[in-house]
Amino acid sequence: MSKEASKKYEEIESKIEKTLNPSITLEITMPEGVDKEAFLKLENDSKFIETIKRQIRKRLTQETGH
Amino acid sequence: MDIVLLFSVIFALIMILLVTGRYHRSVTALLGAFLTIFFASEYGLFNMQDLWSEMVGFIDLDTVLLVIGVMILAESIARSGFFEFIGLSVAKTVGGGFRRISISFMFLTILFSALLSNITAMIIIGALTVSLAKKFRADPTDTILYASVLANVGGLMFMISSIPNLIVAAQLNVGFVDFILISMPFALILSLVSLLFIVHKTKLNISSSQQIKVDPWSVVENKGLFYRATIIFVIVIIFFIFEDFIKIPLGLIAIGGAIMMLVLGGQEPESIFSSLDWGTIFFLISFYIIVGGLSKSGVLTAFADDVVQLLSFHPAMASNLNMWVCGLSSSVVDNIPMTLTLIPVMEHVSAVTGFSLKILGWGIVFGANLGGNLTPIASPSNIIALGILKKEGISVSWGEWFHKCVPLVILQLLLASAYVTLLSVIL
Repeated sequence: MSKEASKKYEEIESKIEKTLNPSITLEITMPEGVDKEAFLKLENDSKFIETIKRQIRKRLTQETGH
Repeated sequence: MDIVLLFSVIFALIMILLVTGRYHRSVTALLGAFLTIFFASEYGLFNMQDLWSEMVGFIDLDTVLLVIGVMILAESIARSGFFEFIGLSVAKTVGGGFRRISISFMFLTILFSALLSNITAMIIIGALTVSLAKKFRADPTDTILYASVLANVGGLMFMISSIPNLIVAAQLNVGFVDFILISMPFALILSLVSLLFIVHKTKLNISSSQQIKVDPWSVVENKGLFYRATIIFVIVIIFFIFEDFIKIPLGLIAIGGAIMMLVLGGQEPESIFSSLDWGTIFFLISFYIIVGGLSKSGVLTAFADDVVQLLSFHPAMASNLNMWVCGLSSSVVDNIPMTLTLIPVMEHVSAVTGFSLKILGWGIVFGANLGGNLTPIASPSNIIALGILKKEGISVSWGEWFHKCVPLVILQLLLASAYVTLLSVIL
């Protein structure tokens, strides 16, 4: 597959992925006074991700009133 | 050196370079065009004072404008999100899990490749299939492989569906309506037979009631642009249909539509121009010069005289042989040079035998479109399909390709052969 076709495919696939499985990427810098290793592990901590999701739901529900 | 032999050697060299893929096909064709001009001038075939006007005379400007216009129109409508919107709407409506969606996507591949280049159609279908396969945790391999084979069936649907169709339409005066009356019904039959074959071969279970939640409008970034691009595209198609009545050349309709799209479509022209397949345009123009050289040097006439002996028994035989030669050669070399070379040969055959040129032309259309599926590297849609699967970590061997796809392609060519025979009897 040529470079142009590959680029075009990636663009379209990412657009469809965002529609089918919407997601956001946040960059959170490490707060002061926490353990670096424990902080980095949070990225793959499913309990932590669930807590964030609950927070998002709560915030958006309060904002939109739904 | 004998002039017929010299130009035959140049042609053979170009074909070898195309088959081996040593250089990009447009570069090979430019080299061929240069050698043609150089030796034709040396041997006094071309009048040096009128060299450039003679060159332009070889190039079918209507075909070139038609190809450029259709490319701009297809690129503009593809950028509006129209095809992703249709894909997600179909997935939402059909529901029923990945297998059922796979079957509908194969149908969509035929429709998309009828309106777009096979490359763009395959990229969109591939992206839709891979994303949905991830959602359903399914294997996209069979869907993508068979979709690439079906993309070439879609190429038979309309006059604008593939470049060989555009060349045959412009050079043999076969209109948009002729394609709808003759080629489209066959493409529909072929689609149905192919889908039955695929369902049988892959044992796809299509009964399920799972639904997916998606808003198809979310892939459309600008609704105004979406509607404008769709309306302009539909208007151009209407003009193509009534081309016989309005008496405007196909190339002028296409380029007029493309200009309308650039003026009213609201998209960045620079970006559209940079996305066009300029390689194909250079290839087409250069190959017209090579074929012009073959014609002037007498190679085509000598070849056609030999071919006439072989084809003069019956139009059905002539058309069938034409289709199989075009089909088998398209599995190793690009179908554009085959189409451009065979058209003048068939014009000669038609003039000598009195066989209908249009019937011989249909043989070229069916062979050129379907033959590319015989190997994984012969058609752009196959290359894209394998590239997408590779990106997803799935490698498909030539053996697997032959096992899964070639029986279907041979079935398609046999059906095309029967259809061409029927056409030569009833037309």
